[in-house]
Amino acid sequence: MELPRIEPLYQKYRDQGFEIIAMDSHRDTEGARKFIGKHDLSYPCLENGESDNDIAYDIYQVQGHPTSLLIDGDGRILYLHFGWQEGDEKKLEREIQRVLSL
Amino acid sequence: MRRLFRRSLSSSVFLLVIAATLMLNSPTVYCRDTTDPFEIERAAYEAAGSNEERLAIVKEFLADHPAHPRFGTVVEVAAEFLADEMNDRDGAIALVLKHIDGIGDAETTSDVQRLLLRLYGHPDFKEDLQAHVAEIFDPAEMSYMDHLRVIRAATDAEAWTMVDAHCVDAAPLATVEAFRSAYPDEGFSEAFIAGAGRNRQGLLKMHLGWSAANRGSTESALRNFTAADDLLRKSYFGLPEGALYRYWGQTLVQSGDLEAGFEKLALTSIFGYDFIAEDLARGTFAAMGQRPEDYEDAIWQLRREHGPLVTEFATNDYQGIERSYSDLCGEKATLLAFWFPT
Repeated sequence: MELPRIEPLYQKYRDQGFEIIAMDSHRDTEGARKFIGKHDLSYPCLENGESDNDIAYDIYQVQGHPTSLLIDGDGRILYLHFGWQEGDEKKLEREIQRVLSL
Repeated sequence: MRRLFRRSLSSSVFLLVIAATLMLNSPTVYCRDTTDPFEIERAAYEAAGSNEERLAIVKEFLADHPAHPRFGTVVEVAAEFLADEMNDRDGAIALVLKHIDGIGDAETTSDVQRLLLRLYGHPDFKEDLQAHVAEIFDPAEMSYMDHLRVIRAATDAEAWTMVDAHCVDAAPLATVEAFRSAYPDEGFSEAFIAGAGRNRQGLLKMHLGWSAANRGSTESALRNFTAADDLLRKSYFGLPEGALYRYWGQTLVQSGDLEAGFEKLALTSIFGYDFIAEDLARGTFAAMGQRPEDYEDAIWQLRREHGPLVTEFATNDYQGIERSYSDLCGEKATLLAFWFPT
């Protein structure tokens, strides 16, 4: 799972205007709580909304997991990262740096 | 979708998915019967250190327990594993053909027949595909989804006559009325039904277009792609469902319109969950005389031009407090990560 692997990126760049918002698409509240606690995630974690507030599927039409969207300060989605493979931390970090103009 | 998911899964993770699949199909998932050979084999499977070892365990189970209720499920999962993770399509087909007659229940047999359809989706198996389709389907009874599965396999097998024939046969089933009558009790809204009907038509146009492109009829291909683009549902990123932009982009490139082809390929590789398209986009970029080191800048430009604005939302955190995107977003950058605990 990519969430613990992006925690170091959060720690590294949060002081430079970078935030992470994690959303449990399936609303597995207990499972999510355990996971968040076990991995000591420090960024905001939200539950997906229900019925007409299904953010993952109805609004963003997520087609698989994990899916991450990188958004700039003007609210424009510039990068979609789907899946997670070894080495993706570096790929994602390069994109974050680009959005942060580093 | 399966193809898309596949990219995200390393072999080890995929094996966990297999294990999870077996568990999901097992009524004893939360209370393992340690005398059940399936459970014994599964424990060995989970403890195995390599793909080869795991495959040997699965094959041993199939050889030793042909009457086990989970036999068919194991055939299906093992064949998918061979084909998708070990890149052994021949081995997967051989495994299915060896065991398919021994699967007891009709539903699993049907699932495995559809898997075999996908496995035959390769030019080397064009004739096997045609024979298999003739064997498992009654043409008069085929549903739209049956036709679509055949069309996808035939596309992969480059069996263009077969693609065209099934697109024609599926057309009467690709209407709003046909969709409504196929799902009378689902409670879909009229807007959803209308969109689904149009989407079905769009997928057929897309496949007809790609078939035409591969038979050298560029004009017909582009006409069908344009029609498909008008009919297919659009994603959050404004891209049509399916492989339309990849097919369209490749056709434009083949016709000599490299710039237009590059844009289609690049867009679907950026925002279309289409990872096959990235290599095609890179190749086209090179064919345009551009330097490989400039590719990322070109892609970044497209992202800025075509990236949609984020939609504001609000939902609860795990303390029950409602939080919105604008409450939490970063001043310069935000990563919105969709996940679920596994």
